[in-house]
Amino acid sequence: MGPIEGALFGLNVAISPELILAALIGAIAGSIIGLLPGLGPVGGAAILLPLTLTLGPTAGVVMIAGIYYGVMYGGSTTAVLLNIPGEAPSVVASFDGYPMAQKGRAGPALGIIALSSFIAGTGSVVLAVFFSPFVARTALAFGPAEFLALSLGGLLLLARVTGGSLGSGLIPMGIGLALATIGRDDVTGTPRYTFGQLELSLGVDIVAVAIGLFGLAELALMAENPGRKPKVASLRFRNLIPSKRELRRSIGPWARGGAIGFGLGLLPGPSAAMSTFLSYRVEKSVSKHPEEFGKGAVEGIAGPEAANNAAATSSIIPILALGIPFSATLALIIAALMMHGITPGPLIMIQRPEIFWGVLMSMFVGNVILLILNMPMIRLWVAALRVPLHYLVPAVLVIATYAAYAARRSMVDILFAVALGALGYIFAKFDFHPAPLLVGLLLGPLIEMHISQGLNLSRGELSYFIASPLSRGIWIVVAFGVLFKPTITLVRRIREARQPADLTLP
Amino acid sequence: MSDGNDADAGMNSGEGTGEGMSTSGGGGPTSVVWSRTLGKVLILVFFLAVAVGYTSYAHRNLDFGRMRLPGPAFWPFIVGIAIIIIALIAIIEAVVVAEDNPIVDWPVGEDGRRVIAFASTVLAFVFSLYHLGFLVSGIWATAVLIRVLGRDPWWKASLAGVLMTSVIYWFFTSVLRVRFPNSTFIPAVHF
Repeated sequence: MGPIEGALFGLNVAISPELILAALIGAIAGSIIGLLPGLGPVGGAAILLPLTLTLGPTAGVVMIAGIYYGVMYGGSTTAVLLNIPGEAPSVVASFDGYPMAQKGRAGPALGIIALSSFIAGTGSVVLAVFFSPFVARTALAFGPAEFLALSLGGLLLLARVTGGSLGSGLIPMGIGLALATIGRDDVTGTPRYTFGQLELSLGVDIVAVAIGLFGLAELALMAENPGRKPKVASLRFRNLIPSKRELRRSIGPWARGGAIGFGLGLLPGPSAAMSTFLSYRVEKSVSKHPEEFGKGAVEGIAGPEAANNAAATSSIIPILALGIPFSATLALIIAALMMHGITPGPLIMIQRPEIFWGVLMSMFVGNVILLILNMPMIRLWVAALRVPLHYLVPAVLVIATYAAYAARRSMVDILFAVALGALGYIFAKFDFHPAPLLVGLLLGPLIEMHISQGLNLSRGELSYFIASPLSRGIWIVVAFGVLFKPTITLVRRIREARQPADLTLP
Repeated sequence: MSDGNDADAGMNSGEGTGEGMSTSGGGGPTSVVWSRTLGKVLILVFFLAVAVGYTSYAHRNLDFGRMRLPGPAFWPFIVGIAIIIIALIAIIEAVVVAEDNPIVDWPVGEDGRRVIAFASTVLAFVFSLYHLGFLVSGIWATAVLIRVLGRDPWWKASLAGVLMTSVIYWFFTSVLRVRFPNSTFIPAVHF
């Protein structure tokens, strides 16, 4: 099936009532989660994951993708109205969105955000339609060495790209990989780290871990100060329409931001957040009026918001085409597919075309839904901002607990969620990044499988893993990504240490 | 939660020295500031100990196999050794490299009591799930949390607890068809 045929087939699947409903529920839930403080896309998606059990696999993925989009929009709404970005990718929206709101232009700022998301998201879907089959076809030729390089290399990059000290990303990654070894070994069936407990032989559930690490930990942080009472002005639909001048000024940033977001979305790490910052810098550097940035420049919202949505769309490509997630939310999309017994990867395009093309095209449908939904429902979103935290925290706790149980009908998963919640709270206090833990937990069994297969094929030769030019190339890129920053820091420190000595020279 | 002034006070008391913790705030303690370095080292030492135990378990209880046919211990052993090496390097890094933000705020006073109350309620709620089931446990836990976090009167907190838990329970059991198991004392209710 070619890209055009595939896109039409996917559109046919995507406009089925079940998928439209899934996208609608996801978009609404995501927008609300994005508006409410703390919970975030991973915690929110994990809590809602049991919902996907009642739907088919395609609908499940579409719903989580809808949540992902919705959260971005909701987070940007609070960034504009309250100067409180809901998520990291929404931080940039506050730079110029909030000053616009202070000038009485909150409505057009939100309108520009909705339009930016729609236009860049749609453009990214078109690019993804042509790009994904190429990636999937290329991946068909991959062996264990290439898949190991992509999965382990991607995980290492994710752990380092998230920033901070060496331990802040790599230690959580190691914990995730270690947790993944609990349960029965896939090859020999030998129980590992189960200590005779039957329930542990099933392994650690990614949903329970996500709920604890991202959901319960955030609730504990919210419990520190639940006295939030935001004052938000009322907004109406007609207030949201931008002026012709504002629209004209947005066209260039949409194109540039969309291209930046699409490219970065294909890479491991917090691509959506990174793309917004990069897009903002690009817009500021190409603008004829850089002095307006930070004071309510439309370009400062249009570019980053387009980048944000484009990155969210293109990041689905590594999942569908390679079966490798590069972020925590995307790991949950894989988890949703696995709950239905589907392993994503290059063969999914041939074996389950309805999922491959249906998910891609439903992203277009999801963008349309978000545009239609968000503009008229702005008053409802503003009302959601007024929900007191002391009602929100217990409600989310009870839902999260049931959701942790629901994924596998296991009480042990609730205990895991609580334990990981405590760990997540400590992580937050000491700047450890939880995303590599979750992705490590998901990728651990895959990495182990690729290592075993590779050693089997090569009769124990470790050089097999760097024998092909492609795997060698990937490892070189990974080594560069992992070592670049520490090397630069080390060189800078050595220079700084030498400088005083140089000054003393005659 | 502490404000910026608390943070400043804390920085003066133990900035980047790893000298432990102190309380801050002018009119009584509002937060406890910890040296981030000390805290990180403690956490990393804990993970190091866990990794040693994890690797030792793989070494003693599982078959390593051969290079051409790895056994169940092969991958856990690699992961364990990797964590040990990373933890050791990270400990050295934590001690040698100065933190950008050298303090960690732990909430104390009213904020601290709320967090402890939240954590205690969560633990009691999970314990209660085994014995009283979801519905009863959810109702009391939500009521307690609404009361503790928002200082609402008990009748209002209880009413909100009943309504919220019932709706959530109904949604999971009737819409998602996920039924909670019977508890020790109370059988699961099915709508």
